[in-house]
Amino acid sequence: MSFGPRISRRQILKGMIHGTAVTVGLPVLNSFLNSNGSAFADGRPLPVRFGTWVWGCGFTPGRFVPTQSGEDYDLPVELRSMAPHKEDVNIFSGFDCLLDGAPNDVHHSGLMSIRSGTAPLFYKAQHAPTLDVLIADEIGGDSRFRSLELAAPGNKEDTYSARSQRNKNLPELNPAGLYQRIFGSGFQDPNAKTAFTPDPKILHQLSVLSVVKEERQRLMSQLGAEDRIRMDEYFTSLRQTEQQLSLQLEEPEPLQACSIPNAPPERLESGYEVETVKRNHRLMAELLGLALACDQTRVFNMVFTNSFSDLHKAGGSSGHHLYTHEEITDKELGYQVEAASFVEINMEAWSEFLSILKAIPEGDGTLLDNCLVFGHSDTSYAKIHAVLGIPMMTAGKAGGRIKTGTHIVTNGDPVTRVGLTMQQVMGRPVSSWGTKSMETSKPVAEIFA
Amino acid sequence: MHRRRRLGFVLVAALTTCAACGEHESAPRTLTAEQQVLADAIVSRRYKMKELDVELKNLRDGVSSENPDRHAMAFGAKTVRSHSRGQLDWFPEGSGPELGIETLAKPEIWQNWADFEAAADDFEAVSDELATVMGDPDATPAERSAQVKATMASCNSCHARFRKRVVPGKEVER
Repeated sequence: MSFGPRISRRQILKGMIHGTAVTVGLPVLNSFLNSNGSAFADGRPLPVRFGTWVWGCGFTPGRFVPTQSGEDYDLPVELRSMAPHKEDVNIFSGFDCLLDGAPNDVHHSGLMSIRSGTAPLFYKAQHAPTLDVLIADEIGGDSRFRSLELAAPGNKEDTYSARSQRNKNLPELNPAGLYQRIFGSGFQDPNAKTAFTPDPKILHQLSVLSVVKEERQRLMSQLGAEDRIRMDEYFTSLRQTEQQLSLQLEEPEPLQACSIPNAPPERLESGYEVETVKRNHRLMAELLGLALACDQTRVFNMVFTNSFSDLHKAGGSSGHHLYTHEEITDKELGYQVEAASFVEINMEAWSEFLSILKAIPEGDGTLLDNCLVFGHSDTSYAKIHAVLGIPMMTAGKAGGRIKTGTHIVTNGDPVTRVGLTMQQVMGRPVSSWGTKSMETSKPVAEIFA
Repeated sequence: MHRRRRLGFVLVAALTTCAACGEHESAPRTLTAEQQVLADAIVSRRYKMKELDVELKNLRDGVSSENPDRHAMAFGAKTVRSHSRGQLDWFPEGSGPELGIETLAKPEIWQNWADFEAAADDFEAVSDELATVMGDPDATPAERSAQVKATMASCNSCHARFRKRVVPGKEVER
């Protein structure tokens, strides 16, 4: 990395196109960074982000899990599309969801065990916050959005981020909505040419919140225990909103690769048809990448397909989920051919998502290098709703905090080891995580840098 | 006639009352926090034992099937292995019949804990092998069948010593 003369980080490019003046904000140039490009010149580290990426209905046994462990792992047919990212990811195999006698609430128990460390005791239950929320509590307060939730199929039910069963983080449902949320009103261009001025609307919103807070004590004294818990959750959200708004009154730091993209088309079809989901996912991933590069958020949750995976092909008679249960296993091949084709589609999308993050340069590497993205499903062998060995991967080096390019295999350790690892990597001061048989104090230390 | 009808009514009422206060239908009572933990342990192990029962029956059916779903059997065996690992924790001291919650666990479990521990160790070992054999694509049907039988034999051996006789049709811990 070469470093030229120091220039003002507020400097802009000006010009004329067809008689109209245009200005282009400068990205963070090398001159803004330290000598090896790993941090800002004033010593502040580049932000490290955390995200999750979910696909439904797991994998096909015998076609997904690498046969070799360690760094020289192979890529079976359903992971072929991951070849460009073999060095960017870690694959975790043989980790189990231990339900301790709780019923296997299909497509929910496994997913929630992975994300909250606790097996649900009844239908659709959630007894602990999901790990993205815990990590957002740690790192999400320093950016405009505590976290961004995105549902590529455009269904508001497709969210697996929640502080509690009643307090879910609702997803953005289409690229246009996501664009407006990130780059519409309230967006402060970190590389802007003009002098920073706080938005008076934000000052007004803050004052309104302040008035609401004063009503809290009076209201709380009149409520029953359960409602007080709900109100506590509500006021926690309110405090977080207040923090986010306060941040917008501060002048943003300039950031490399932060640019404002063109708005996507307003009217885009949504739904679970493969090509529709892929297109919306790609557009949303590109916008998310820029939102991360512009430090608008440091935590995100992308749902490519829901845990029941309604993904279907145009004109197809059935979808992924139904195929896993109803398709006859091919006697010669030994697997459900159509169901397996959907797994490959999911993995192609996961690979594309990582490519989008990897294409954005940042510091001496890429945006992906400064991310820790957790990709996982809700089940392993969907045909029988197995919650043992659910596929899990991490992508990105978390700013150099972890090593990548390894296939970690255990013989039935609890899935919470992976969740604990990620929380520790992201700076949560936590020494154990999970409940009952899934309580663990043993992170996957092999990947620590 | 009226007297006979009245007598019949009294008899039915008396029998119903007797059934309601029989030894298996204990009256609701308040448990202490410690007792509740033990009662929860009984309920939890009941579910897990049922899961084991279902998985082993599926495996037994699988090995006698002409065209079994080998992958499903591999996952079933892993579930058995997973359950076998923490089994001793399912039996905290005090979670026997003395708690007054219906259970098939005999007091001998805690009276002969070392023997029970050895039985649990044996089950864990055969379950581990079961998962290995069922996950091995090269295992022969005979090897699979033998390992399922060995696992079930381990179950039965422990049950013979430490579980009360199962009353057919009665919903109790297995």
